Amino acid sequence: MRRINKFIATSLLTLAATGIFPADSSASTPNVGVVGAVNPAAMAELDKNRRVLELGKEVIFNERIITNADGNAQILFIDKSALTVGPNSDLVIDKFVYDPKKSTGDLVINSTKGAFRFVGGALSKKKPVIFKTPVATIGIRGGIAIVNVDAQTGATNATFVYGIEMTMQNANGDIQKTTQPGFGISLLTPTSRPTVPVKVDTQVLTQQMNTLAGKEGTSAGAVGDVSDKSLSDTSALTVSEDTTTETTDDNGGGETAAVETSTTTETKETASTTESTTAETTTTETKTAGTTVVDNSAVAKGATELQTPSTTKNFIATKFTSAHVAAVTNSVVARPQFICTDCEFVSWGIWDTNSNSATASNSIDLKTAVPVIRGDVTQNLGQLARTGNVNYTGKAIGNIVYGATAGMGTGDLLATVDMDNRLLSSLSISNFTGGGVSNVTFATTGPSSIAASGGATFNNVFVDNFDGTLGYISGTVNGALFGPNAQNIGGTFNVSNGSNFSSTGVYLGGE
Amino acid sequence: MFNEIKKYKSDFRKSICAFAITSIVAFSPGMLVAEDNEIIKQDFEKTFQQMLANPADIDVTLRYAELAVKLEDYEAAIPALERILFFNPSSKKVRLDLGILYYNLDSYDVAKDYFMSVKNGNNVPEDIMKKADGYLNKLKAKS
Repeated sequence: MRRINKFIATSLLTLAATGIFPADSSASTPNVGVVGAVNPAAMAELDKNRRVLELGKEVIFNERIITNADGNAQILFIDKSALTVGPNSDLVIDKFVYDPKKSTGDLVINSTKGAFRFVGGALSKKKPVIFKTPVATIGIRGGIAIVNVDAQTGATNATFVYGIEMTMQNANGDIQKTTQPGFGISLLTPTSRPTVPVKVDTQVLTQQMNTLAGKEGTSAGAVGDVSDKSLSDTSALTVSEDTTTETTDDNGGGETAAVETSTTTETKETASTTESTTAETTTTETKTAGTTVVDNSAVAKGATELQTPSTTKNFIATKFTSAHVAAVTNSVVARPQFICTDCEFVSWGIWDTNSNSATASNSIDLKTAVPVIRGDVTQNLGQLARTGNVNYTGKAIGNIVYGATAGMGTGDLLATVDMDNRLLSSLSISNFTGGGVSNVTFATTGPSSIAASGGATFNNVFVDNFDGTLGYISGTVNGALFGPNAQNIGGTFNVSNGSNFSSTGVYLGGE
Repeated sequence: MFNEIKKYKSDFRKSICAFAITSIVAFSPGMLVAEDNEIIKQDFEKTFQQMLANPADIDVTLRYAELAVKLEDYEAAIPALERILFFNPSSKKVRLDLGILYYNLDSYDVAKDYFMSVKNGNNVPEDIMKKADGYLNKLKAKS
């Protein structure tokens, strides 16, 4: 079988080299490339037959590549892509289709653990190369990326080194992307949202590079003298004295820098055009798939607080965790379900007039506590690629004064936003219960506009919502969309029946 | 220019001295007529097949990297040199060239990492160190 594979592979390579592939043919090749470099303790496994990876040997489609703590390797693909595999890694080439005439096809790599550096060849210039991990699907388009997959949890970090773009998608279809070299995206679980791209710390990058580098004293399977001296004697790595004199000043700058700048500018212009086209394509694909694309260029800087606290109040919690809920539970009612797991870009807490401590374990005066909301307000909603009606579900929480009773109540949030017309179509808080009242509903009666530029904020009212016990309830509701792509909604509400009931609180929700 | 290419084809080892990144100047595709560029492309493809057939051949790998640089396909040159670094992890010359390649791709953080690895190395030749310092200064000016 292996002989047949080798025969087919050799034939394909020969065909590719001579350019006699039919122009419209694609081939699902058994041989995807060769082992370009390998240090010991790297294995390949196909159909449960395991072999030691050897320099120059072919890598077969669907073959599993495994390295232990001392192993690493570089796979050279026949489309000129290269994959460096670090120690303690495990991967399978899930899919490889390459048409050398058109330079098109697909490459899908599946990894359960390890460290990798992918450098794109022909395939990634036309279409993203896909890198799957236990929690994430990474798309690398026209470029270079470093991927790290945690062996225990599958948590994935990817650093975009160069290229058109890198995307990371979770199991729900939520996508983050970056086009900035040196920026990274992480994903902890299959259903958590990929993080907004952040600049990778220099030390972290160095660590990633070191993990993927050959270790001193190893030779990656090379035979013969590969010392620096040997290389300089025979290779291009020695700078010609004449060339240096003509083109480089003493500091590696000067004339060379000027030429490089010119070259770089031309390259950038080309890249810019490509990027623009790519962005449009991605947006279209995303709309069709119904997924969320987060463009880091739209990320609002810094959290915005929708309520201005007085200086005499202390913020109890910037984001309620289970511990915070437990603290509230002890003194009020059990509402562990209040945590909104989808609300990445907005959080809530309580300003308490009587507590001087910023810890959740201190008692909260529920009569005077004012829930507040903080988050990254969506900017320039009119420029985002959001269409149709988007439903947000979540929770509401507020203090309640009902006659002589005071307490904290919680309810369910449902809001609908018309993205085409940038309207808050409806917002309701139902099953609002606590502080002596139960299952009260407040709902808007008409739409209100959401700002197209600047912060995506809105104002609306609750008018004459009838409750069998409390009578007619009216009030105001203010809020905003949160997150770079309007993934969350949140805000404040203030309601009363004009006599013995009033409540002030916050709500938040996610798509 | 045609004679230059012809000379390159007939005496690779001599002309290969122009590699490093400075060869971009001498062999910038913008300066080549399309026909010359096509010759390099054909050689590039042919060399790639030779490299696939024998990835342990360092000369072929270096030649492939050089042709990639001539075509300004730095992305193709990088894995070739990184593979040579696998063969010889202590090579400061390869690290310098990789730093320059990443610099040309505007991937400044990775470039800096390679230049710093040169700067922090032992017994680094003066010319290599000087170039690494030069690029580190350029990166500093950009930050």
